[in-house]
Amino acid sequence: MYREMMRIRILENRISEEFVHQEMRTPLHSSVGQEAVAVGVCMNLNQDDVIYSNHRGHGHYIAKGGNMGRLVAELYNKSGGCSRGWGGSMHIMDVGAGVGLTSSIVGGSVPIATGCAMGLKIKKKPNVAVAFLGDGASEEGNVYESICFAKVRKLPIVYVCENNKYAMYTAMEKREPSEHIADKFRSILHTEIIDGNDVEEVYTVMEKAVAKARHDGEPSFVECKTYRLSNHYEASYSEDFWYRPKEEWEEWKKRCPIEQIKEKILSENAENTEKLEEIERLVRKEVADAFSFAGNSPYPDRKELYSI
Amino acid sequence: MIREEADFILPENAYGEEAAYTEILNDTLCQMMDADESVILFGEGINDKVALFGVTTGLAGKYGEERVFDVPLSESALMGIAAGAALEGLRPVFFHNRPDFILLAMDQFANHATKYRYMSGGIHRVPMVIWAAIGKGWGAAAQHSQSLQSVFAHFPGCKVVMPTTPFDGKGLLVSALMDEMPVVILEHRELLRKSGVVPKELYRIGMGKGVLRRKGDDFTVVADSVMVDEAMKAAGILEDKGISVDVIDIRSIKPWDKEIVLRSVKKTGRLLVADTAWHMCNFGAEVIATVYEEAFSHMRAPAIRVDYPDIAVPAGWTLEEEFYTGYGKIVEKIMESVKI
Ligand SMILES: Cc1ncc(C[n+]2csc(CCOP(=O)(O)OP(=O)(O)O)c2C)c(N)n1
Ligand SMILES: [Mg+2]
Repeated sequence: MYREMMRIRILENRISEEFVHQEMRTPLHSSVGQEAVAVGVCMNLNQDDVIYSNHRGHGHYIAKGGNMGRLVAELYNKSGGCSRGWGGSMHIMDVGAGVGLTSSIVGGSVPIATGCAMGLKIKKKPNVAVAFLGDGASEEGNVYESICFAKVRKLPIVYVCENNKYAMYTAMEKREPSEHIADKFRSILHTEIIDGNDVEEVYTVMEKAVAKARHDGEPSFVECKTYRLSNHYEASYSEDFWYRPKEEWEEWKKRCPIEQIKEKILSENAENTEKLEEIERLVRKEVADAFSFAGNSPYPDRKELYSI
Repeated sequence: MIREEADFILPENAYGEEAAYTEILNDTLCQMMDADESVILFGEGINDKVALFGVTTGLAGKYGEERVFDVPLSESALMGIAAGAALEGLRPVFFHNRPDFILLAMDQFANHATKYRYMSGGIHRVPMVIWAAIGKGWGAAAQHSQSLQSVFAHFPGCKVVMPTTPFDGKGLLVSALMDEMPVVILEHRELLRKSGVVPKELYRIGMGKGVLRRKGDDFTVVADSVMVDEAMKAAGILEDKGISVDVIDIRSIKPWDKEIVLRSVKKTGRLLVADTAWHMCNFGAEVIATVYEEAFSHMRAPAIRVDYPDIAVPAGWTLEEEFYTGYGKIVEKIMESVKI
């Protein structure tokens, strides 16, 4: 779990560092701070299970086993990119790893994920679909429609809501009738409200939700309380503290999902320090390799524009 | 085996018994569902007594509710659900009573279903069919009688067809169910009342192939949907006045058969497009622009559009009569044009 979260953290941080060179010409939404959700969810999934995610999708893609080099190449608009240079950061996919193409229309991939679950069911496959969505996305009508449909048709799907309290720069209180997103869906399907920064909690709750979906066709809605420590996206006007209080950010920084699990691992056995350092070293190497892969990949042939 | 349209050159009545258009569509769906397990059908009221004018009557009984099912009134999500199922290897047909209701689903149609092929760098295919029947008359009014072909056709990554005969209805439905892109089939309620005699076996009509319904030398009329019948009526009247008309049933809006139109216009030098849509940015404008781009020197008179005024469809029958243009207007415009 630690390794998987570090893969996301170190990758996202490197992306933010490299962003200043303006060579990744695509809107980049970092998921730093939310790694526990991606990892806790995806560790319950098989390769043939399918996830659908959103504009903030790098973490989900990596956690589900998407190829890192091809992701970075996609951010650099290269032909070796996972969407061959057509998708950019907001439209990433890895069919072999069960990562469905992400949508940048907020809430937009939720019906697609629901249809995927329907396809899995009709084709009698033993797989489940997971739809990742934000707190903002939960305000879209498509989400309500999809969830009702999944319940009626008994689809093998779990809706995972990452409630990071903000939709761009607008806080929950200005948009939501209740402090919990799940309250809106409680009367429709099974809901859970959990600490999305505790990767073990995410893992255990999801284990049950995935099993319900897989074996009983019983969909669930899991609200994970979390926080993005990064900006909404990489842009100069996205600077942190004009739309959210610094104290709030600091509070959540103390609850960083990676620091939490690290502390726990070390408290169990102080000798684990070396192991963790080794993991970090290997992850840094993997990320560096992904950037070299992207660097070596050519831009697509311009004539490819007409080839699809 | 699925045959091609061109295999059938026999006179219509050589194929067997006459059947209703809707029965023919129903039968075609059965044949396609037998041939391809991945075909599934859903839509509001698909299994009720009306069963979309009879197009889906009895199909749930035959194929089970897993493959043919009624749905909640959630047009928007269901459009995406169809796309998601298509990405998983199914071939969904999403039925709508009227195209007006698809407007609720435009995000999932235009931003998702039509885009996944592109956004995935060509890796994904989204084989799905969206079916609707255009309404007209009996006070259907502003929100129940819209012809939205140009709206759908605007987006890259889809196809739009408007069959006008049972023969084409069957052939285009087969093609749509074999296509790799989302295909919008816009039937028309008036046309669904027709009956015809069609080959029992499966055949397809190439997407983007128009057909010459009537031959003439003096004028080219390109028409879609119910306007084809209006154009045929007009051509009969004009014949008596000594004007002979090529009537092209365009059948497919996107892609559309440029060649058949250009060939005719190069012969006649005159063009009228009769389109069941509003004047602004309609398919007729597209045809005329293309003819001016590619055959300008052959034109002997300005091209003409007969279509609907930039006004919502009224309910009352007197206003309705004034709103809908048809063969009378086509005759009048062509007479004016040849006088010049
Ligand atoms: C339909 C739609 N409306 C608005 C936007 C602009 N937009 C991009 S991200 C975003 C916020 C989404 O918030 P949330 O779902 O909570 O996800 P988060 O960014 O917090 O991960 C908005 C409004 C969009 N992309 N799509
Ligand atoms: Mg949010």
